[in-house]
Amino acid sequence: MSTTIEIPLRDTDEVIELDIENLPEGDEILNILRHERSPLNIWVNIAIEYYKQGQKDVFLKLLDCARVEAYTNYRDYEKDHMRLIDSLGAYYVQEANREKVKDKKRELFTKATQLYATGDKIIMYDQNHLLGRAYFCLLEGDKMEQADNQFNFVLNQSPNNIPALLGKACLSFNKKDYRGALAFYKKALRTNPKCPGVVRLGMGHCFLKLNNPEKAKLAFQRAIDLDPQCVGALVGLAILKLNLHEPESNRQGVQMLSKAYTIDPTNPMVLNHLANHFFFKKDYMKVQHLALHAFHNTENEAMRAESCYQMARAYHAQGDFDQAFQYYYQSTQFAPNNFILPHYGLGQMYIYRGDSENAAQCFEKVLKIQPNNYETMKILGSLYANSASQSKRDTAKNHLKKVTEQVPDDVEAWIELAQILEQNDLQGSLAAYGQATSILTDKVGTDIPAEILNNVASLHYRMGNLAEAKSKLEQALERAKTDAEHDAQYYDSISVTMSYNLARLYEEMCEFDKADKMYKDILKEHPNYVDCYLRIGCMARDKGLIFVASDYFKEAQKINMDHPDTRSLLGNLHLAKMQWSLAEKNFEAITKQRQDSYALIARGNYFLQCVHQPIRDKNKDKACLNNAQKTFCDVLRLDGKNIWAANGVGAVLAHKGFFIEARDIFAQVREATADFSDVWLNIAHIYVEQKQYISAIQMYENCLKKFYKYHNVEIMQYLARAYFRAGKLNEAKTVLLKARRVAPQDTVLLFNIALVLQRLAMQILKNEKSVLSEVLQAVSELGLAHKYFTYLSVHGDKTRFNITVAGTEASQCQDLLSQAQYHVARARHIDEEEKKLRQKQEEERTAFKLKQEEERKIREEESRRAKEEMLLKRQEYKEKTKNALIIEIPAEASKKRGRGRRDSIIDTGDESDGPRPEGEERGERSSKKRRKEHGKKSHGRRRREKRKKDENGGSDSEGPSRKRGKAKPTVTRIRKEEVQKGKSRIISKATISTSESEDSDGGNGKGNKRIAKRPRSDSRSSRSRSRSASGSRSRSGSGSRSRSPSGSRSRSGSRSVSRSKSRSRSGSRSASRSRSRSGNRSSKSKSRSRSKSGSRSRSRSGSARSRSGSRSNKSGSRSRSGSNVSKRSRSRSGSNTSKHSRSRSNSNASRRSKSGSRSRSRSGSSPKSRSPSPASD
Amino acid sequence: MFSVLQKEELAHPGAIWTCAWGQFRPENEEESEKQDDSEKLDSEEMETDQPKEKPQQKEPYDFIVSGALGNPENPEVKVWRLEGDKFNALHCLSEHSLGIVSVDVSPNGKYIASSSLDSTLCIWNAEDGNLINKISAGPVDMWTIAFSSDSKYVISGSNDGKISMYNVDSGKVHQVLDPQNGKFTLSLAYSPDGKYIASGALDGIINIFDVQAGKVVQTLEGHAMSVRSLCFSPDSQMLLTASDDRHMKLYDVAHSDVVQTLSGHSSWVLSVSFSGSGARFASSSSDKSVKIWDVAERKCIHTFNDHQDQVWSVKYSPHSDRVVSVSEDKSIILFDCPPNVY
Repeated sequence: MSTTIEIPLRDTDEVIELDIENLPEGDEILNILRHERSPLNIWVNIAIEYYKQGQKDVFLKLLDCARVEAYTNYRDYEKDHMRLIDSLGAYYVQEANREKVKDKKRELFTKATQLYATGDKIIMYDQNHLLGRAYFCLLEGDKMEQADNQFNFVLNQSPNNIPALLGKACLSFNKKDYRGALAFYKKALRTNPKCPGVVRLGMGHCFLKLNNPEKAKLAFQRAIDLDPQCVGALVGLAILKLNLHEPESNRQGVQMLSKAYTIDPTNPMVLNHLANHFFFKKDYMKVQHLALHAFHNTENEAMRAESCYQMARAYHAQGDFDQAFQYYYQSTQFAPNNFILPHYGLGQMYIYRGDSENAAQCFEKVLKIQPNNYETMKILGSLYANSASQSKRDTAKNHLKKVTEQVPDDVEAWIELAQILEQNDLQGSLAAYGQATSILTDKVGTDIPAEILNNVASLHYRMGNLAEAKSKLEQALERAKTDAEHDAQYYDSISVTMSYNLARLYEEMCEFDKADKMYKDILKEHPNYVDCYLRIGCMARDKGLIFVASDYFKEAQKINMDHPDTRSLLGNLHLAKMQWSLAEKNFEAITKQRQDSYALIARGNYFLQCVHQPIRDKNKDKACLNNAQKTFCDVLRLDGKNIWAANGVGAVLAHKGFFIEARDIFAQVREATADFSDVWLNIAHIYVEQKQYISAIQMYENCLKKFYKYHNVEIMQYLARAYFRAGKLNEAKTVLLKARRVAPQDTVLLFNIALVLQRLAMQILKNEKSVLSEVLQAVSELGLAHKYFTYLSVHGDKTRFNITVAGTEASQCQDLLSQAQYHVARARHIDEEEKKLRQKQEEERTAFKLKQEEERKIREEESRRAKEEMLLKRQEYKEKTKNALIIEIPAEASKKRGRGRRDSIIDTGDESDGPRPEGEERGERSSKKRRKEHGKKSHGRRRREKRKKDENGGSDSEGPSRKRGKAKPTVTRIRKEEVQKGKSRIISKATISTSESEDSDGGNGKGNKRIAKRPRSDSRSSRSRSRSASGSRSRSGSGSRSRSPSGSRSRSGSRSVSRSKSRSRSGSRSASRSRSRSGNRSSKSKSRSRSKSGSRSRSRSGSARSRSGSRSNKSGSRSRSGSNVSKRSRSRSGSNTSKHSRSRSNSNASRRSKSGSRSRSRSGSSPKSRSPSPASD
Repeated sequence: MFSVLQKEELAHPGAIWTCAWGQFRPENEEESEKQDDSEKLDSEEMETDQPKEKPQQKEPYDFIVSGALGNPENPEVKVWRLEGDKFNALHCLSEHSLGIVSVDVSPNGKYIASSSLDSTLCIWNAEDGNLINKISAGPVDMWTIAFSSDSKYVISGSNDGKISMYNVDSGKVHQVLDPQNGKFTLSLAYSPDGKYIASGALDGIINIFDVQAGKVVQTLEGHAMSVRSLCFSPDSQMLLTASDDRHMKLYDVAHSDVVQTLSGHSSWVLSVSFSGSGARFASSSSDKSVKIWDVAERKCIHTFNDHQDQVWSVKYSPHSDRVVSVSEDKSIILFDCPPNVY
């Protein structure tokens, strides 16, 4: 290059030499050029020199003037014109690229575009022009294709065109073809080894992308060597150094960054990296400052995303979550698809805000990009773990399983997994906890935290390994005691929960005294622990101490008026005591506060119960049923899987007579769970209604076996009724006797026994083939039945059945007994005759034997004599006639013998046969006669009875009886009414028991028992329910409910914990994140901190859960509702059938006879109807 | 060690509801008298021939009486002679109908009393199985029974809590103890010293009667559910009660204090029985288990889970070394419970 430019003077050959080093002022040169009318090329050359020297305004001015004023009248004028335009265009493009303000930028770009357009008109295919245009396209963005074409065109013409090569390299780089880019750079470098350092910079980036940090480093180094001001190279080198993660290199990297910063304080890349650096130095103010600066210095969205992210992170680390949230959010808006860190951060912010739905979405995005990122999976796992939907919980399970597969040493993940599995896979959960504990003891070397021990214990508890559970809990308590030195408050609080769990365990192990003591100890220290009151109350209730229980429940209510469990329990107590309105009040109070399925179901049951009230408005029955149905449907709407509600709907349907539909519902409920005895009963009741007695019997028996260790009198009565209906009287009798063994005072039972005895006796008496002993037994049992009926007609429990029925039955027994004498006489007669006959036969036989013997003797004698005679004769006749005699005699003898024998057999046969048929005939005849008489009589009597009964029924419940008479259309209706009647009877019994004395003790006892029973089952259902509720509550619901702190400590504890967990996690996580971003290392500290917080929250929530779990298991007590409901419904629905069955059985019996009679009476004298009735008898 | 000595499967055709442990102690004079009686009444399976021939050689033996629901036709009482660890069926006493509710053996070992669901009470000669008396009561006036300590009377509970004393020989009612407003008496016990009778009612109320005065001296309200079994300690100082509330309670008879509440069964406690020494007692429950308890420590020292169904009754042997239990599963089990093993 020449160091001077010659400006030829006009009209002379002289030139003005301009020293490049030392250019004159812009205006001066402009004047010179104008004056001398210099050709265009000189203008351009000079302008470019000015540009090179950084005097851009001069450059611009010269070029602008040149376009107008330059002398253009020479040969290659066009080429120079092109140069001018291109230079100007390139300048504008460059300026535009630098310009940050959008409007100006656009303006510059338009100028450039115009220039290039004019250039196009002059020489389309000038290389320089094309190159300029190509770069313009490149910089303008989204015109890569065009740029590529133009570069290709240029390269075709001159393959070593360096700008084209560099442009291609740039394009390739942007297209992520790093290898190609590298090739272009290399080519360019080969063609011109003296390229500026920027080329090396590009190569360095390529190497970096190609994962060759060594070469990249060399390239950057070289670039810096060439151009110490090259910010890009400095940054690249710095990043390389930082990535080594060694303190020394880190330091160097930071130094380079700061150097770059001093060179170019606006380079966003530098700023961002510096911000990142300061983040680790915990100098958050600087981070914010730098990041903000970077944000304002770039248009590049990715860069901005990064800046925002840096800022968000700084705020996050400082605990300013609102700001952090905003910046994270902004960052996600800018961020390209694969920059997922801000999503991660945003997710954490959402967690903090308790918006798990959005959080989950954020993390899902992260997971999409990095499908196996185990931290994300873990977070998602724990987010979904608390979700209400089963499918999400399943995904959570899968995530956590993957996590544990990937990182089998992650204690936290194991624990999370264990917690999810707690819900439905106890074994799996236990195994997961096992893994966690073994990792803790073997690898981490710490003791197992008390929380985990507690959760393991509660799992064992739920699986029924009580001993195991106990030992774990004791360990946990021990552990908490030692840990209490560090954090007394926390560990004391969890050890209260654990003591509670232990007490529950004792309760389950039936060591009630110990449990009682523990509960009371807890109460001494924490008088607000509502659950303890409830448990003590429940234990009292199960012991039959209703009033004590009520006191405790009320105590609990004092502490927390609105505790739904307490209210439910109280409501149940009232129900058990038949105080319907009080119970109803309690349940209503709960439902007013919130949508509580348990309370709703309890109300539904209450409505159902109304249908069975003895004193009620019959017209309201339908309304009650509808109300019940509505309530149950409401529950189902709230919770589509509520089996108790489904059961209730089934019961309502059964009440309405839709047995098939009801059965379908019950069957579904039973499929859902086998641990719900009411459904079994209801199904059995339906079987009875449908006359499928065998199935019903099986169902009842299985139910008894499965759910009751002791003889449940109620179910046994159902069973007996089914047997009775199936015609299996003996079995019915056995079952009833067994029931009586435990409830000797139960008059209804007595009635049923008497009835069965009567029926059995009648059966035996009518059977003419009955043996005397059977008949005698039958008679004695008939006597017993009579005795019972007589007794019942006076002392029977009037509230449970119609004792006048007993009276009529008694008189019937009396009649039967008097007839029985006849039967007995007959049987005795037969017996005697038979005996006589037998005796006679015996005698005859012996006589015959004797005779035979005699005959034989005689014969023998004769033969002997004959022989002798023969001998004599022989001897005598021997001499006279020898041959003839000898032949004749033996033949005769043999003949005689044979015939004789045969005769005797025939004789005896005849004799014996003869009398027998006679006797039988006689017997038959007589019995027939008798039967006829009896039949007539009984019919008459029965009819009378029927009438009476109807009357009774009328007085008892007018509606039904009258209806019955009329109601031909459906048998079912009648049955229903009966059912109702039965139910009402039961109810009444209960009330009596409480108020009256006398025989009520039986009722009382029963009532009590039932109460106990009902709550228990109730509790079961409620329990499960409550558990789920608490689970969800603890985590998500956190803020909403504030229960008394100490009282529901466990619960509140878990709640707060959960929150803390999320927070702690996010905090620590961010750290990890930053790390992962710069490298992929996981910092120990982070994991540690997290695990701690995690475990704590977990454990706490765990304990809460476990408690609830235990609650559910056990006892019912808490169960607030479920069971209750269910039981009730069961009992109700069941009762529907069942009740009646029970009370019914007595009435059943009566009813039975009634029904038989009824049909008869109804069809009046039609012979058809009558014929079946005897059969039934 | 605690172990099962003998299990008699299908001892009865139906559920076995009650049992009693008796000791036969020959007494020379009475023996001869009785032999005379038995000679006259000589019935089916009697082994009386042997003792008659060699009266001196008659040895004391333990026997167990069991009562069952039986098959529908004939409920029955069976008497088993214990020979070593074996049950040898001695008598089969059938006079009742429906089912046997309660049996007891007189303290002197001579009589057996049995009551049944049909409200009849039968008194048998323990040695030969002959019926001595049959007493019928109202339909709800006969339930559990017990012999008085002097073996002269049998007491029986009834519907309204009244206790009737029947004379063994005459079969006549000797005395009626009325607790006033009592409920159905489910369980009865006569104190070994003869002073008290305790009755447990359906509603959990326990009455202690002074026999001499014929009055209730104490009413214990510790249970709120049916008391199905109670028994006095051999020294008559303590009363043990068992209830449907799954608890047992140990009372000090003199002061009517609850000495201890014991829990451990997961269902109704159906029967309790003190050992002859008074150091232990056994309990049985609807939860199919039999538990052995130490009185001094007041805790369960062993649990047997050998029955397949509710264990209706359990009796400790007078020698305190064995326990017999009967169950709904129709079996009788004899357990070895050595007094010094824990």
